[in-house]
Amino acid sequence: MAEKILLKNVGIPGSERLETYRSRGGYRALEKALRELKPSEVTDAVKKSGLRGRGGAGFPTGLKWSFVPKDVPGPRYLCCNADEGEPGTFKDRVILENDPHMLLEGIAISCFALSVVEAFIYIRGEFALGAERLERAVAEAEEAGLLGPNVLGSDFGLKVHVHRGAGSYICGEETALLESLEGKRGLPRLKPPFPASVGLYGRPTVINNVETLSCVPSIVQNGPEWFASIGTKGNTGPKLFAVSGHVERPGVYELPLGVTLRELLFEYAGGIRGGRGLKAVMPGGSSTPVITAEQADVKMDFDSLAAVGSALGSGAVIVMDDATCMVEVALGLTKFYRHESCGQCTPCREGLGWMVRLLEGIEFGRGSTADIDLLLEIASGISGKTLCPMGDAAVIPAQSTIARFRDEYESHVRTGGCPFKSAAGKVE
Amino acid sequence: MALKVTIDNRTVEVEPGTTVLNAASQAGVYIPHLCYHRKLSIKGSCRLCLIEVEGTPKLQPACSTLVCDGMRVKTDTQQVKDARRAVLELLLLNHPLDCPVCDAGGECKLQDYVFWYGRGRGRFVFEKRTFAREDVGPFVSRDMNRCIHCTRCARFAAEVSLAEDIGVFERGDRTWVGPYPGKELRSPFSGNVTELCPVGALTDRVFRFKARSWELTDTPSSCPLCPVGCPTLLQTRDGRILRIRTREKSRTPWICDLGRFGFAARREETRPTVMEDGRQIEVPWDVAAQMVAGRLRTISKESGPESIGVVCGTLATNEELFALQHVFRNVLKCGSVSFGPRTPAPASHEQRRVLEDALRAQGRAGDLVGCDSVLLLCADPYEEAPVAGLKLLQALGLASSGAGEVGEAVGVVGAARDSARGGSAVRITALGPRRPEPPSVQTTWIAATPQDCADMVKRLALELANMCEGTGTARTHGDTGKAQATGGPGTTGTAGTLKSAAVEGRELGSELGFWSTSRKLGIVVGGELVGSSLVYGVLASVLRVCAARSALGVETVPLFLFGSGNARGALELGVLAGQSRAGSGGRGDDSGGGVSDGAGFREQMDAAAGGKLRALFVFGLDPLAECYDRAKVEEALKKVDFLCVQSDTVNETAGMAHVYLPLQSVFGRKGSFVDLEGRLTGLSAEQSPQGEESLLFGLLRTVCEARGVATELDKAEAIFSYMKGRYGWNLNENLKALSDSEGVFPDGSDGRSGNGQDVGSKRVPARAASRDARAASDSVSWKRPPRAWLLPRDFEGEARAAGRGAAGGSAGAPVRGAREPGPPPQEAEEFVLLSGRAGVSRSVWARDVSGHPKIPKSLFVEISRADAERLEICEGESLEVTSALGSVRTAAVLSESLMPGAVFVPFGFPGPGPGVLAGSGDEVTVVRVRKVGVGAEC
Ligand SMILES: Cc1cc2nc3c(=O)[nH]c(=O)nc-3n(C[C@H](O)[C@H](O)[C@H](O)COP(=O)(O)O)c2cc1C
Ligand code: SF4
Ligand code: SF4
Ligand code: FES
Repeated sequence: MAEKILLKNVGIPGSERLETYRSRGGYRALEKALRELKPSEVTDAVKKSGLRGRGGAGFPTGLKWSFVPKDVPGPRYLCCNADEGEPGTFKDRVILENDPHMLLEGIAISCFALSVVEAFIYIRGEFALGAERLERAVAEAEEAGLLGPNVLGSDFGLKVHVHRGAGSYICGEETALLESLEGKRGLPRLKPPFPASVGLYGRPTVINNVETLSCVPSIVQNGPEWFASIGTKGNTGPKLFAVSGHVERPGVYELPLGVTLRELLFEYAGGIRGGRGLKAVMPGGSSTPVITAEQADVKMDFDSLAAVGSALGSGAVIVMDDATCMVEVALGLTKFYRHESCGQCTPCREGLGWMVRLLEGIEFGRGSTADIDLLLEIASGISGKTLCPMGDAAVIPAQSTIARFRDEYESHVRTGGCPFKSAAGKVE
Repeated sequence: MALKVTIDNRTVEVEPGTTVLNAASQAGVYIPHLCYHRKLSIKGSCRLCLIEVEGTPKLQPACSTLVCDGMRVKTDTQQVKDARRAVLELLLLNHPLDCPVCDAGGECKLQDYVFWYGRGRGRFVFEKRTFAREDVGPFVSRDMNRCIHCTRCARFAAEVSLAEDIGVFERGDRTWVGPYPGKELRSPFSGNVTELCPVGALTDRVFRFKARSWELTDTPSSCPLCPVGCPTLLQTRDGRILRIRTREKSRTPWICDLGRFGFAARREETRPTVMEDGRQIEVPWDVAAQMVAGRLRTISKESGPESIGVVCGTLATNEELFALQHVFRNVLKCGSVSFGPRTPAPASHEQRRVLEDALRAQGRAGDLVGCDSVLLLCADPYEEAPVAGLKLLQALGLASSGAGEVGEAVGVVGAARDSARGGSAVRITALGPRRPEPPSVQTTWIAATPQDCADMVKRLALELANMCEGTGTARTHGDTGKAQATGGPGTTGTAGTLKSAAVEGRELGSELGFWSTSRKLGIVVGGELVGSSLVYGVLASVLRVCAARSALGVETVPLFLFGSGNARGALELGVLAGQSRAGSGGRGDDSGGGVSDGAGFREQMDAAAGGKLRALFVFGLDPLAECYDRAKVEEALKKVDFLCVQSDTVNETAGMAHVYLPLQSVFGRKGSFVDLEGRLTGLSAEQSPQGEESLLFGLLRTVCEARGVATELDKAEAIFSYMKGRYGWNLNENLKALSDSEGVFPDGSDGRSGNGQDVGSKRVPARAASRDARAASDSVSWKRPPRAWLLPRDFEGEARAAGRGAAGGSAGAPVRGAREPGPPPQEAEEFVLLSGRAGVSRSVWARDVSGHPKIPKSLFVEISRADAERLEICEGESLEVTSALGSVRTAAVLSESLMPGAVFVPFGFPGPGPGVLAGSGDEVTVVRVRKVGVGAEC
C-alpha cells in the first residue's frame, strides 16, 4: 500500500515529539474540528466513514458514540484502551511509542464530538516507554494549548490522564478496565448496564482502542468518504496487522482492510520462515479460531473472516508452520487464559485449570480419547456461559485446534507423546 | 405498570425492575443461585442461575436479568440443566469431599444443589488446590478449601458493614478470600458472614462442632441485648440455645455479634441462698422467698414503705417491669423503683416532661433518608446500637441496602457498584470523645467530652432561639456561641477540664450556623449521654433545636439511642418517672425518712447511707460493677438491713445479699421489650430447668400473699394481655404471636410512615403507658404532653430560660477530681476520665465466648494511640489510673478512635471499675495515669 496513514510518521527521527508531529500536519484535524464542525458533525463523519473498532469486536465506532445519552447532566468520560495484552498483538504499542500525538489528537477530536472534558488512557503496565512518551506528549500538548482548559483558544477544554495498568490481561476488557481505573480489582462488570450509560464512576463512558481513536484525525482531515474508499464495503479504512510467528519478517504492517492473508504473509511478511509450509494461522490474536493453509486466500476483514468461522479480532496474525504442534499451541494459550482469568465466575475460573491439565496430559502422553471429548465438553460448559467474553475467548484455542486438527490430538494419544518432538524435546 | 412474564408456562405479573429470579419465585419456580443474596449487590458471577429466555440465543443469568413485558423464560430445558450441571461440577472440582466433617453439612447450598441438579460422579482426577484452615477473627473460622468464590462475604464487608475487613485476593483459580493484611474480622458484624457463606468456608467458632443443623429447632424471638431489638431466630437443641441467627426474609437481615454470640456468655445460678453468720447457705426456694416477704413486711411496718427501694436492671422485660411496679408501688406502696444505677431519675416535673417529649419526638434510623447533615452527639451508633448504626448508614446512602427482596423491584442491576460511599452528599459531624466507626469521608470528628457535647447542643439551641427571635442575625455565630459557652454552667474554665480547642473556637461557630439552617438535620444522641446525668439538659436542648428549626421551616430528626436492653420499655412504663416528690406527699414526711417515689439510684444510696432506706431489692443487675462512686455504694449496701438480690449470676452485689434468688438469663424468660423505635418485640425463652416464666413472678406472688393480696399477674402472658387492655394497645397478638412477628407498634400502625416531626399517636408505642404511673401507683396522672416543642411560644420561653443558664441538666457540677494546683509528678499524667459501656466489638458480653486473645476479658483502660506513644505505653501494659476517689490497676488498650487527653474505663466488668474513680457521670473526673511495673513488652 502506497499511502500510510497510521504509520506515516513511524521511522522518522523524533516522531514522538510535538514539533515533528506538527511539522507533518499534525493537529490540523483538531483545529478543523474545533473551528469548522459541530460535535454532532464529527460523530456523523465517523459514522459515515464506516470505522469499526480495532480493539477486537469490530463494533461500529460512530454507533457506539451515539449510545451515549445526550441529555444526562454531569460529567461523561472517554477511555482509551491501551492495555494491549492479547497474545500476538503489538500494534497499539507502535503508535504509543512512535506517534503519541496522533492518538492524543484523535482523543481530543473524539472528546469534542462527545462533549467529554476528561479522558483517560489506560496503558498496559509493561509499556514503560510508551507511557513515558505519552505522558511527555500530554505535557507538550498542554503546554502548546492543544490540551487543557482552552484547546486552541476555544471554549473546549480537555484534561487527559495517563493511567498505567498493573499487569493484568483482563483489564483490557472494557468494564474491567473501568473498575481498575476506579482503583478497584480489575473485574469485568455485568452488562447491562453498558458503559455508554453507566461507565466510569457511574457516568456515561465511551471506551475505544488506540488504533480506533488514531483513525479519527484522518477521517476529519480527509473526509469520511475518503476513509470509506479504503478497504472493502462494510470494512473500511486502514488496519494495522501485527504479524508474528513463523514468518521471515514479523512486524506491524499497515494495509487496507480486505487484503488477503496470502498477500499479507507472502508479500509483506516475507513468507514462512525457513521455507517451510504454512500450517495454521490465528488471524486476529489468540482469541480467534485457527484457520488452515487452505484458507489463506481469505480477505483479512471482519466479515470475510467471520464467514470462514474465525474473526479479525485485534488484527494480530499468529502464523504457524508445519512443524508446529497444535496441542502445544492450545496448551500454551489455555495456560495463558487460565493465568489471566479474573476468577470471578465459575466456568472460567475452574474450567480452564481443568482444561490445562487435560491438555498437559495429552501433550505429554498421558491422555486418552475420552479426554479430547471431555475437553470439548468442558469448553462448551464455559463458552457462552461466563460473565464476560473472556470465557468464550479462552476456550477457542483448544476448541478450534481440536475442530481442525483432531487427528493430531489423536496421534498424541495413540503414540503416547508429542509426535513433533524428538526424544530431546526439540522440534524435528 | 405491571409486566407479564411467563416462566415455565406459569404467567405472573411483576413490577418493572423485577429480576427473572424474583419473578420466578413469585411464579413458584425455584431457580438455584449462589452468589445472589437479596441484601447484597448483584454480582452475577456464579453462573448457576442461567436460564433460557425465548429469542435470546445465550443463556442468561436469572439473578441479574430484568423482566420485560411478554418475556418467556424456560428453566427446565436440557440446555439449562446441562449448564447447571456443568457449573456444579466445576464448583466441586477443587471442593473437598468432607461433608461428613463439615460444619455446614445439612445447611450447605452446594450440597443441596449437587444433590438436586448435579451429576452423580466427578470426572476430575487431578490434585485439588488446598489451603490451611485459619481463624480469621474472634468468631469466624475460614476453610478456604470449601470456598466457592461467591464473594458474598467480601461484598458484605464492602457494601454493608463497610468494615472492609475481608476481601478477595489474587485472581483466576488462585483466588482466595480472607482478611486484609494486618486485619481480622473484628467489626461488630463479623458473625454475619458465617450465615452469608453458602458453604462451610466461613463457620461460626462458637457453634462449631456443637450440633448438626438438622438437630436444631428454630424459634423466632427478638434480641434483648441492645435497644435495637432485632428479630432473631433461636436455634435450640433440647431446649437450649446453640446458635442465634437472623430470620429469613426479615426486615433486619443482619444482626450484630453481640446479638449473635452474646447468649453464649450466659451463666445461670439455680440455688437460692440466705446469709447466716456472714455466710451464704443454700436454702429451698420457698424458704428464701418467704424470708423476703417477711423481711419486707416487717421493715415496712417498722419504718414505713418508703424505707424499701428497688433497683432494676436494664434487661428486665415489660412484664417484669410492670409486675415490679405493681407490687412495690401499688401493693407495698413504696415508690422508689430505680432503673439501673447510672440513669438519673427526673428530679422535676420539667425533667419528666422533657423525657416524655423526647420519647414522642424519637425518630427512626430510616427517617434520616434525605438528611443533608447529621450531628452525632457522643454517639457511635455502629458500636453501641449496631444495627441501628447500619440502618443509619443506609438511610444516608453510605451503605447499600441491597438488591431487593424477592418480589421487589430492584434499582439498576448492580447499581451498588457505583460505590455506595460515593453517592451521598450528607455531611456528618461527630462530636464526642470517640471517632465513630466506620470512618468515612463524610464524617468530620470533633473531639469533645460528653460535657462539651451537652454544652454545645445547648449553644446550638440558643443560637436557634436567637435566630427565631430575629436577634441572632445581628451577631456572628462565633460570638453567640462564645457568650453562651462562658456563661454555660459546669463545663468551662473549671480546673482540670479538658476543653477541646474546636469546641471553644470559631470553627464550631461556623458549624453552629450550618446546623441551624441545614435543610434536614439528623441529631443522634449516644446511649452514654442518654444514660448519664447530663441527659435532661441534652434532651431539652435537642428538643429546643427541633422546635426552633421547625419554626424556621427546616426539618429535624432526633434519634436517641436509649441505653441498653429494655431502657425504652422502662421509660415507657414509667419506671423512672414514677410519682412526683410532691405527690408522695404526707406519708413520706410522716415517716420522717425513706426515699420518695421517683428517686433514682443515687438518692436511694444517699438514703441508705443515712439509714433511711432499710431494705433494697436488686433485680437483674450488679450495682457494684455498674455504679459511680463505688465506695459509697458499697458502704450503703452494707448498711441496709435487708439486701435481696435476684439475678442470673452470683455477682459481687449478690455476694453481699441477705437473700439471693436465682433468675433465668434473659434468654430464658418469656416476655416483651420495647425497641428503640417504639415497637413491642417478643422474647421467646429457651428451656431451662426453672421454666420460661420469670422467677421474679414467683417471688412477687409470695410477697403479695404475705400481704393477703391475691394476684393473677404472675404469668408473662397474663401480664401482657392485662397491659394490652389497660393501655389500649391496638394489637391482636399475644406474647407468642409477638415473638413470631418482627415487632408491632402498639397503636397498630405498620410504623412505616412517619418522620421526625410527627409526634402524633402513630409511633408512640406505650402512649398510654404514661398512665402506668397512675395504674401502678395511683398517684399523679400524666397528661398527654402538649406538642410543646413544636410551638414557638413554648420554646421561646425555654430559650430565654436557657439564655439565663437556668435550663439543662449539667448545672454547676463540681469537679470531683480537681486537685490542688502544683507540678504534676513526673510519671503521672492527667487525663479526663470517660466511662460507659464498651462497644460491641469489644463487648463484655462476648468476652467469655470466643476465647480470642485480643478481646479483653477483664477491665481495661483505653488510651489514644497518640498519648500512648508519647508516654511510651504499649498494648497490654499495666497502668494505674488514680482519681481523687480511688485507683484501679489494669491493662492498656491502645485506641485509634479515642480522643487524646482522655482515657476510657468501661463499666460492665466484674470487680472494681470506673465506679472506683468517678463520683458521678455529670462532672468531669480527672485522673492520673501511671505505668506500673511489668506488662507487655513495648
Ligand atoms: C478479555 C478481553 C481483553 C481485551 N483486551 C483488550 C485490549 O487489550 N485492548 C483493546 O483495545 N481492547 C481489548 N478488549 C476489547 C475491549 O473490551 C473493547 O471491546 C474495546 O476496547 C473497544 O474498543 P473499540 O470499539 O475501539 O474496538 C478486550 C476484550 C476482552 C474480552
Ligand atoms: S469469564 Fe473469566 S475473566 Fe470473564 S468475568 Fe468470568 S472469570 Fe472473569
Ligand atoms: S468464603 Fe463463603 S461467602 Fe466468602 S466467597 Fe467463599 S463461599 Fe462465598
Ligand atoms: S446467582 Fe446468578 S450468577 Fe450467581
